[in-house]
Amino acid sequence: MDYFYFDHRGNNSALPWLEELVTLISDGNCSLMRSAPSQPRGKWICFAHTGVGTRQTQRDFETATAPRARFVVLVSSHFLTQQSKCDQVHCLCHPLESVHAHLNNNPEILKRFQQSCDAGAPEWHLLTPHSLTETLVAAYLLRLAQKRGVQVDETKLPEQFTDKVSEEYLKLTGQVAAWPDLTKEDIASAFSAIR
Amino acid sequence: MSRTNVPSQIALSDAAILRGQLKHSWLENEVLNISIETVISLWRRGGSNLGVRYAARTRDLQHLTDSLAESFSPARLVDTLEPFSGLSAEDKSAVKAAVHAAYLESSDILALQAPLKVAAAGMEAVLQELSRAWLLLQPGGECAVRAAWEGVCDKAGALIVELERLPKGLELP
Repeated sequence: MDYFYFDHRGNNSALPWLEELVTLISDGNCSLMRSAPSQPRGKWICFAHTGVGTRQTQRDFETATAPRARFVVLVSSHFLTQQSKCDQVHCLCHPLESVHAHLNNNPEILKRFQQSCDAGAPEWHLLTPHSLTETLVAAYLLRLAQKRGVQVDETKLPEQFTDKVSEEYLKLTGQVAAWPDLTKEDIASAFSAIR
Repeated sequence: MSRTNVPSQIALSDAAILRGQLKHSWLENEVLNISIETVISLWRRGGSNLGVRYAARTRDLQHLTDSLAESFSPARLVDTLEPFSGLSAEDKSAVKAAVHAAYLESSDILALQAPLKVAAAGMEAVLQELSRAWLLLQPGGECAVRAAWEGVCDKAGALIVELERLPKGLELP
């Protein structure tokens, strides 16, 4: 598998982070794809920042992924609302800095992603930093409101809400903590990781 | 079945996306990365008035500035988090109010609003100047467009500084 990165502008501020990220993923064996995207041939994966207003470039990339061994990761918050319908195109909405830190800090996840690429079936979800579960966020916000005197009808919360909170917190951090004792510090680092 | 992970949209928030689009897609890519010669060439060819074209962006900016605290507040999550879906409207409203109050106390979001407004107003003024200069003919027109574009670049730089001070996503109180 060959690794490339592409930016619709050569001088874009996204370029240094694209280069850093793909260098990490490819163990340094990557290069800048200068024109989108008829070249090169063969098996490749390209992290492409195509920018707003460059739909044609996005379409070019989607067409280029027709052979099964080619993949494109479209990098831009713009694509949050324009998810590609192509199987081999993945939209990465997280800040590149976060994704880089996530892979750099988790070598086993990085290795698994590299192996999945080499096997021709990239596990895209591995690029995404750990996310807090909705249950944990809800538990924290609810407790915050209760501490401020808000009373809610807890029978309207999902069944076994308290158990789910503990279970998901354990899964996320490996630590035991029970709602309503969950503090901001307990979940702040995980929350900031997905900002 | 409820989702396990918080989707990135929840963490980013519409305001964070808009902030990124204004800073990166507009100010960096469409203003600072465009050379003055490109602008003059566009003006000479009778191309679209950049001062007018960017007015839509200033409206987005105005919207972001006016709703800054609400847009970045984690109180917005109360309406979208699955575990809250069964709560009554009154309960949801009470939780939202409490979370928003806690957010205002713990963040400096309101302090960021005034300087952002000033930078936005500055940008709007120079865009109006550019818009007027765009309508002028040679020989004076080119000098006026050059001067106005310089002003736009200056204000874009100032605006980027303020946009960079904004949160990159929702923050817990």
